Amino acid sequence: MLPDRAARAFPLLLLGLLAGMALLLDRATNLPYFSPPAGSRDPDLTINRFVATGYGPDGKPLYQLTASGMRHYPHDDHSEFADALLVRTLPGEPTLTINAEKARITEGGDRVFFEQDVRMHRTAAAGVDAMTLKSSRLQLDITRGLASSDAPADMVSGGNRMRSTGFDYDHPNTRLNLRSNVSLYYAPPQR
Amino acid sequence: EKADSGKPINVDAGRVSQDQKTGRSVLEGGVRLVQGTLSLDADQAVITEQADGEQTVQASGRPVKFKQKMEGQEVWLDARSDKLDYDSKTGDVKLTGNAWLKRGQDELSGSHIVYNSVTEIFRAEGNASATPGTDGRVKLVIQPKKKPESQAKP
Repeated sequence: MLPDRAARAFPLLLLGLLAGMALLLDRATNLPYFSPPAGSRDPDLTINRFVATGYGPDGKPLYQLTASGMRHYPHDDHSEFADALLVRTLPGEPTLTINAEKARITEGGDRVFFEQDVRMHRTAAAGVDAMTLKSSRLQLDITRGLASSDAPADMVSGGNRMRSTGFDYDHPNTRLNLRSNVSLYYAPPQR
Repeated sequence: EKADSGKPINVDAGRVSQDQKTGRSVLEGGVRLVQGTLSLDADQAVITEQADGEQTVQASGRPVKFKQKMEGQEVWLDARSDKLDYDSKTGDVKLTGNAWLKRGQDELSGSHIVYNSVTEIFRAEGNASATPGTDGRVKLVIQPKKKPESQAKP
């Protein structure tokens, strides 16, 4: 079940916010707008202690992206975040948290690329154990809740442990594909 | 060995698809499962984790190979079959299709063999139509125990 309209709006909202902030600040502060020279790869906007929250119609937060710092680059309209933390709290789903030293949102806006010391955590839910995953990079489709990576990953769920090279994780359906070099460890049962 | 069933299960596979709600994992690309002295090699397998933390394994291969050390002895049990079902709770190992089992020098073949890895008891069933080229009956070869030297001389 795809999240509702508000949930799908978050990425576009986020991108619109980032892309337009420079102009917005100009009007607010009446500073002369500095239009970066063509071909410049400098950021046109930086924000410290960045927090962006998307709410559902019931006023409850669906997503929250926080970072210690954010930079927006107009040449290809991408944004970079330091110490990024994304929390997805869609109704009917366990909470999904992803944090990493770096994150990047590209032009389309619906994918976040996490890099360096990436940790994904799913809380426990009815019939599903909590799961923690560590990897060096991860790509998240925010709207559909699909996480994937081609890097080695290490997962712990309940007493069991899984290792693989590359994975695809479907959060709404709690399905996990481990792409290659898979090792599973099933803890002995409590008898 | 008896202690095997209380040991963790380690599995290596080429790739795995897991439904974390049902606890069902489909393993492909060559599967090796080890639990204490018990080991199993198959082409693919389905492992389902039960609510009580036990596992059921349904393996298939050309053939599936199974091995386990006998309790307190330096004797190994080897088995092969087209399909193999293992239940970590009961210790039951069901060999289906071209089933063959060897323990020490004793050998057994048939279309179905059920072996219990805790009690070390096995039972075989024949099936006339199941195995082409054979009469489908159970074959059991029990080697005579070697008499000690002193009794061997007339």
